[in-house]
Amino acid sequence: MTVRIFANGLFAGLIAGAVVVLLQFLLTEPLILEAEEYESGARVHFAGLAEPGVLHDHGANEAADAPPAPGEPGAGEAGEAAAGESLAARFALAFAADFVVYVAWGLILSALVSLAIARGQETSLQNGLLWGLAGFVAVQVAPGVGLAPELPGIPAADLQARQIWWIATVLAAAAAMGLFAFVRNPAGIAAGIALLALPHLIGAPRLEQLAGLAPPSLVAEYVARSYAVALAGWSLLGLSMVWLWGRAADPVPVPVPADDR
Amino acid sequence: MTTTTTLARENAREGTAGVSLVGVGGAILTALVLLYFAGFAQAAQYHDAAHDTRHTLAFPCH
Repeated sequence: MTVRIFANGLFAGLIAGAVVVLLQFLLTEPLILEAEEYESGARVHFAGLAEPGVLHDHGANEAADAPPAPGEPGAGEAGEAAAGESLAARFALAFAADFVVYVAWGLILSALVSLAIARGQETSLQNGLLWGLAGFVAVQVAPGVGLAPELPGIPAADLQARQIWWIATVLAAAAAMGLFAFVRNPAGIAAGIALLALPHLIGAPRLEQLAGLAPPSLVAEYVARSYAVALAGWSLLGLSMVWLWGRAADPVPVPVPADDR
Repeated sequence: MTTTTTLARENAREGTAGVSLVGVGGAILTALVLLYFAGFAQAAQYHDAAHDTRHTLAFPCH
């Protein structure tokens, strides 16, 4: 049982992680790199509409002061080669980190699924999809309502405060999902709704005045894609998890004397 | 036969037939350590390595 929890968590995490890597490379990574061009000043929001520096002199000043970064105009061919290499290293690290994160979610989900199966839950694909969607709501939607996915170059409130709010919100939302799935009486559902609402009544850490170097349309595109990647990753994590748990049943459990319990 | 005895011993050690609390606790603990380094640690090497992942997966990042 212990081995299966780890093995199924690992394999489901690797399956979902592989798809997330592919989708990140195709969908979100190009937008992150584009946003960094606005952050570094290589591109300026409103550049076509107003004099650079009038609306966003922060970015323009940075660009004027800093030497051209590798790969930016002015750095030459050697710089571009170095940039290509460092970009490959950067992608490799990011993709490794995707696997680490999804294996971690896989281990947690595997532990919870093992408890549900011990309680008699069927290993159907419907249940797998529900597990995945519950994870998507708990880890992406619930905290995302207060702390939307961020692009580089967008100022935000104090990092530690946001991390604490994020963790608390994910825990509360996960508990709510558990109440909806396994308690299912009016009191449990009411408690679940309260747990979902509470972090937002307290409110996520937020700057009084919002700003950002990237155009709003780029941010909108990015947020939509970030949720698409997450939905694919979590659905696949839940489906592959339950498939793995149902695939090869444990050897017939040996009856344990009641006094051992 | 060996498998059955091992399993029986494991079941006896872990309490109930279908639940492994050692596995549940161990898996969750391992996951939290992984999430800490990939998603939360602010030391530059972890932050930089996982930077694009944190953005894509919507962890709070810088």
